[in-house]
Amino acid sequence: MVVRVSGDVDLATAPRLRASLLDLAGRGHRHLELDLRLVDFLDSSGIGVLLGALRRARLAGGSLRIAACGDELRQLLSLLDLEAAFGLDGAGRP
Amino acid sequence: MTGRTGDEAPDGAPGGVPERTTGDAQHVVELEIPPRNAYLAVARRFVAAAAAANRVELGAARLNNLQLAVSEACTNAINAQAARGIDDAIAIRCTLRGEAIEVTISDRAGGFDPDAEVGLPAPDDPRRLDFEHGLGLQLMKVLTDQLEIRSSELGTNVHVVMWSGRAAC
Repeated sequence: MVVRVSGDVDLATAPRLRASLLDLAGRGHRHLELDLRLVDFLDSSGIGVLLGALRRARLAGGSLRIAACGDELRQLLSLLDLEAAFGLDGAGRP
Repeated sequence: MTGRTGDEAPDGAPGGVPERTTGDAQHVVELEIPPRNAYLAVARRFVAAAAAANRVELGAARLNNLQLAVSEACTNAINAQAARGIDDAIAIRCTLRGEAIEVTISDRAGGFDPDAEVGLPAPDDPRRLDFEHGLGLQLMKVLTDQLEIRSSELGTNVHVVMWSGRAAC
Protein backbone atom coordinates (compact mmCIF):
# COMPACT_ATOMS: atom_id res chain seq x y z
CA MET A 1 0.00 0.00 0.00
CA VAL A 2 1.54 3.31 -1.09
CA VAL A 3 0.59 6.36 0.92
CA ARG A 4 1.12 9.70 -0.77
CA VAL A 5 1.53 12.70 1.55
CA SER A 6 1.52 16.31 0.44
CA GLY A 7 1.77 19.75 2.00
CA ASP A 8 3.18 20.76 5.37
CA VAL A 9 3.48 18.30 8.25
CA ASP A 10 3.81 20.26 11.50
CA LEU A 11 2.03 20.50 14.86
CA ALA A 12 -1.16 21.54 13.09
CA THR A 13 -1.29 18.87 10.42
CA ALA A 14 0.69 15.96 11.91
CA PRO A 15 -2.36 14.62 13.78
CA ARG A 16 -4.17 14.25 10.47
CA LEU A 17 -1.33 12.16 9.05
CA ARG A 18 -1.19 10.12 12.23
CA ALA A 19 -4.92 9.43 12.06
CA SER A 20 -4.66 8.36 8.42
CA LEU A 21 -1.79 5.97 9.12
CA LEU A 22 -3.61 4.57 12.16
CA ASP A 23 -6.71 4.07 10.06
CA LEU A 24 -4.80 2.18 7.39
CA ALA A 25 -3.13 -0.03 9.97
CA GLY A 26 -6.49 -0.67 11.57
CA ARG A 27 -7.88 -1.80 8.25
CA GLY A 28 -5.16 -4.41 7.93
CA HIS A 29 -2.57 -2.65 5.77
CA ARG A 30 0.52 -3.89 7.56
CA HIS A 31 3.06 -2.96 4.90
CA LEU A 32 3.10 0.73 4.09
CA GLU A 33 5.23 2.65 1.65
CA LEU A 34 5.29 6.41 2.02
CA ASP A 35 5.70 8.69 -0.96
CA LEU A 36 6.72 12.00 0.60
CA ARG A 37 7.88 13.82 -2.52
CA LEU A 38 5.07 16.35 -2.31
CA VAL A 39 5.72 17.19 1.34
CA ASP A 40 6.72 20.87 1.36
CA PHE A 41 7.78 20.99 4.97
CA LEU A 42 8.13 18.51 7.82
CA ASP A 43 9.44 19.18 11.31
CA SER A 44 9.80 17.20 14.54
CA SER A 45 6.03 16.84 14.85
CA GLY A 46 6.10 15.03 11.53
CA ILE A 47 9.12 12.98 12.51
CA GLY A 48 7.25 11.92 15.62
CA VAL A 49 4.32 10.68 13.56
CA LEU A 50 6.63 8.77 11.22
CA LEU A 51 8.47 7.17 14.13
CA GLY A 52 5.23 6.26 15.84
CA ALA A 53 3.91 4.66 12.69
CA LEU A 54 7.17 2.77 12.17
CA ARG A 55 7.09 1.44 15.72
CA ARG A 56 3.47 0.34 15.43
CA ALA A 57 4.14 -1.36 12.10
CA ARG A 58 7.05 -3.33 13.56
CA LEU A 59 5.08 -4.31 16.66
CA ALA A 60 2.33 -5.62 14.38
CA GLY A 61 4.82 -7.65 12.38
CA GLY A 62 4.49 -5.36 9.40
CA SER A 63 6.71 -2.74 7.82
CA LEU A 64 6.86 0.92 6.97
CA ARG A 65 9.34 2.51 4.67
CA ILE A 66 9.79 5.75 2.81
CA ALA A 67 9.68 4.98 -0.90
CA ALA A 68 10.54 8.51 -2.00
CA CYS A 69 11.06 11.93 -0.51
CA GLY A 70 12.48 15.34 -1.39
CA ASP A 71 16.02 16.51 -0.73
CA GLU A 72 15.29 18.61 2.32
CA LEU A 73 13.41 15.87 4.14
CA ARG A 74 16.13 13.45 3.12
CA GLN A 75 18.73 15.74 4.70
CA LEU A 76 16.69 15.99 7.90
CA LEU A 77 16.40 12.22 8.13
CA SER A 78 20.13 11.91 7.50
CA LEU A 79 20.83 14.44 10.24
CA LEU A 80 18.73 12.38 12.64
CA ASP A 81 20.35 9.10 11.52
CA LEU A 82 16.93 7.79 10.52
CA GLU A 83 17.56 6.93 6.88
CA ALA A 84 18.21 3.25 7.49
CA ALA A 85 15.22 2.95 9.82
CA PHE A 86 12.91 4.09 7.03
CA GLY A 87 14.48 1.98 4.33
CA LEU A 88 16.58 4.72 2.77
CA ASP A 89 20.22 3.91 2.31
CA GLY A 90 23.00 6.36 3.16
CA ALA A 91 23.96 6.95 -0.43
CA GLY A 92 20.89 8.94 -1.38
CA ARG A 93 18.85 6.12 -2.83
CA PRO A 94 15.76 4.35 -1.41
CA MET B 1 24.60 59.70 3.94
CA THR B 2 27.60 59.31 1.64
CA GLY B 3 27.39 58.71 -2.09
CA ARG B 4 26.15 55.40 -3.34
CA THR B 5 27.53 53.04 -5.95
CA GLY B 6 25.49 52.11 -8.97
CA ASP B 7 24.17 48.83 -7.62
CA GLU B 8 23.30 49.91 -4.10
CA ALA B 9 19.96 51.43 -3.20
CA PRO B 10 19.99 54.21 -0.60
CA ASP B 11 19.22 52.80 2.80
CA GLY B 12 15.84 53.65 4.20
CA ALA B 13 14.53 55.34 1.08
CA PRO B 14 10.78 54.97 0.80
CA GLY B 15 9.19 54.07 -2.49
CA GLY B 16 8.27 51.14 -4.67
CA VAL B 17 11.78 49.89 -5.48
CA PRO B 18 12.54 46.74 -3.50
CA GLU B 19 15.70 47.23 -1.52
CA ARG B 20 17.82 45.08 0.67
CA THR B 21 19.69 45.97 3.80
CA THR B 22 23.01 47.58 2.84
CA GLY B 23 26.24 48.29 4.65
CA ASP B 24 25.66 48.54 8.38
CA ALA B 25 21.92 48.90 8.06
CA GLN B 26 19.76 46.79 10.33
CA HIS B 27 16.08 46.34 9.59
CA VAL B 28 13.55 44.77 11.89
CA VAL B 29 10.32 43.07 10.87
CA GLU B 30 8.05 41.55 13.46
CA LEU B 31 5.05 39.28 13.46
CA GLU B 32 2.72 38.27 16.26
CA ILE B 33 0.68 35.12 15.92
CA PRO B 34 -2.10 33.73 18.08
CA PRO B 35 -0.71 30.76 20.02
CA ARG B 36 -2.43 28.28 17.70
CA ASN B 37 -0.72 25.62 15.66
CA ALA B 38 -2.52 26.76 12.51
CA TYR B 39 -0.25 29.81 12.49
CA LEU B 40 3.04 27.91 12.45
CA ALA B 41 2.95 27.99 8.65
CA VAL B 42 2.41 31.76 8.74
CA ALA B 43 5.46 32.18 10.99
CA ARG B 44 7.62 30.03 8.71
CA ARG B 45 6.59 31.89 5.58
CA PHE B 46 7.08 35.22 7.32
CA VAL B 47 10.66 34.36 8.26
CA ALA B 48 11.39 33.04 4.76
CA ALA B 49 10.08 36.25 3.24
CA ALA B 50 12.10 38.37 5.68
CA ALA B 51 15.25 36.38 4.92
CA ALA B 52 14.72 36.97 1.20
CA ALA B 53 14.77 40.72 1.86
CA ASN B 54 18.20 40.55 3.45
CA ARG B 55 21.20 41.78 1.48
CA VAL B 56 22.88 38.38 1.32
CA GLU B 57 20.64 35.37 0.85
CA LEU B 58 20.89 32.19 2.88
CA GLY B 59 20.48 29.66 0.11
CA ALA B 60 17.69 27.09 -0.11
CA ALA B 61 19.05 24.46 2.28
CA ARG B 62 19.95 26.89 5.05
CA LEU B 63 16.70 28.77 4.60
CA ASN B 64 14.90 25.48 5.16
CA ASN B 65 17.01 24.90 8.27
CA LEU B 66 15.99 28.33 9.57
CA GLN B 67 12.34 27.59 8.90
CA LEU B 68 12.69 24.30 10.74
CA ALA B 69 14.23 26.06 13.73
CA VAL B 70 11.46 28.67 13.74
CA SER B 71 8.81 25.95 13.48
CA GLU B 72 10.34 24.08 16.39
CA ALA B 73 10.66 27.19 18.55
CA CYS B 74 7.08 28.24 17.85
CA THR B 75 5.82 24.71 18.46
CA ASN B 76 7.53 24.70 21.86
CA ALA B 77 6.13 28.15 22.64
CA ILE B 78 2.58 27.11 21.76
CA ASN B 79 2.83 23.91 23.80
CA ALA B 80 4.45 25.63 26.79
CA GLN B 81 1.84 28.37 26.92
CA ALA B 82 -1.01 25.88 26.46
CA ALA B 83 0.30 23.81 29.36
CA ARG B 84 0.17 26.92 31.55
CA GLY B 85 -3.16 28.21 30.30
CA ILE B 86 -1.53 31.28 28.74
CA ASP B 87 -3.16 32.68 25.62
CA ASP B 88 -0.83 35.56 24.75
CA ALA B 89 0.37 36.09 21.21
CA ILE B 90 3.77 34.71 20.27
CA ALA B 91 6.19 37.22 18.77
CA ILE B 92 8.58 36.43 15.94
CA ARG B 93 11.07 39.22 15.41
CA CYS B 94 13.47 39.17 12.45
CA THR B 95 16.50 41.46 12.50
CA LEU B 96 18.07 41.70 9.07
CA ARG B 97 21.72 42.61 9.08
CA GLY B 98 23.49 42.20 5.76
CA GLU B 99 25.80 39.54 7.09
CA ALA B 100 23.22 37.70 9.18
CA ILE B 101 19.59 37.24 9.98
CA GLU B 102 18.51 37.00 13.60
CA VAL B 103 15.17 35.61 14.64
CA THR B 104 13.81 35.89 18.17
CA ILE B 105 10.74 33.90 19.19
CA SER B 106 9.18 35.17 22.40
CA ASP B 107 6.44 33.64 24.52
CA ARG B 108 4.96 34.21 27.97
CA ALA B 109 5.55 30.68 29.29
CA GLY B 110 8.20 30.89 31.94
CA GLY B 111 10.30 28.35 33.71
CA PHE B 112 11.86 26.51 30.76
CA ASP B 113 15.30 25.07 31.42
CA PRO B 114 17.01 24.35 28.09
CA ASP B 115 19.87 22.56 29.82
CA ALA B 116 17.52 20.08 31.41
CA GLU B 117 16.41 18.63 28.07
CA VAL B 118 17.48 15.04 27.49
CA GLY B 119 19.51 14.37 24.38
CA LEU B 120 18.60 11.90 21.66
CA PRO B 121 19.54 8.27 22.26
CA ALA B 122 22.29 6.99 19.98
CA PRO B 123 21.24 5.92 16.47
CA ASP B 124 21.76 2.24 17.20
CA ASP B 125 19.93 2.43 20.53
CA PRO B 126 16.51 0.76 20.24
CA ARG B 127 15.09 3.55 22.37
CA ARG B 128 15.80 5.90 19.48
CA LEU B 129 12.53 4.89 17.87
CA ASP B 130 10.64 5.75 21.04
CA PHE B 131 12.01 9.26 21.12
CA GLU B 132 9.17 11.25 19.65
CA HIS B 133 9.45 14.26 21.89
CA GLY B 134 12.22 16.73 22.68
CA LEU B 135 13.58 16.57 19.16
CA GLY B 136 12.79 20.21 18.57
CA LEU B 137 15.49 21.62 20.81
CA GLN B 138 18.10 19.26 19.40
CA LEU B 139 17.21 20.30 15.88
CA MET B 140 17.40 23.98 16.73
CA LYS B 141 20.91 23.50 18.10
CA VAL B 142 22.18 21.61 15.08
CA LEU B 143 20.50 23.58 12.32
CA THR B 144 21.41 27.11 13.36
CA ASP B 145 24.69 29.00 13.56
CA GLN B 146 23.94 30.46 16.94
CA LEU B 147 21.22 29.61 19.46
CA GLU B 148 20.49 31.29 22.74
CA ILE B 149 17.53 30.52 24.98
CA ARG B 150 16.67 32.78 27.87
CA SER B 151 13.85 31.87 30.18
CA SER B 152 12.46 33.51 33.29
CA GLU B 153 9.13 33.30 35.09
CA LEU B 154 7.83 35.92 32.66
CA GLY B 155 8.51 33.98 29.50
CA THR B 156 11.04 32.49 27.17
CA ASN B 157 13.05 34.05 24.34
CA VAL B 158 14.65 31.84 21.72
CA HIS B 159 17.29 33.71 19.74
CA VAL B 160 18.56 32.24 16.48
CA VAL B 161 21.31 33.62 14.25
CA MET B 162 22.07 32.47 10.71
CA TRP B 163 25.09 33.93 8.97
CA SER B 164 24.68 34.82 5.33
CA GLY B 165 26.79 33.26 2.60
CA ARG B 166 27.66 30.01 4.41
CA ALA B 167 27.37 26.45 3.10
CA ALA B 168 24.70 24.21 4.58
CA CYS B 169 25.70 21.79 7.34
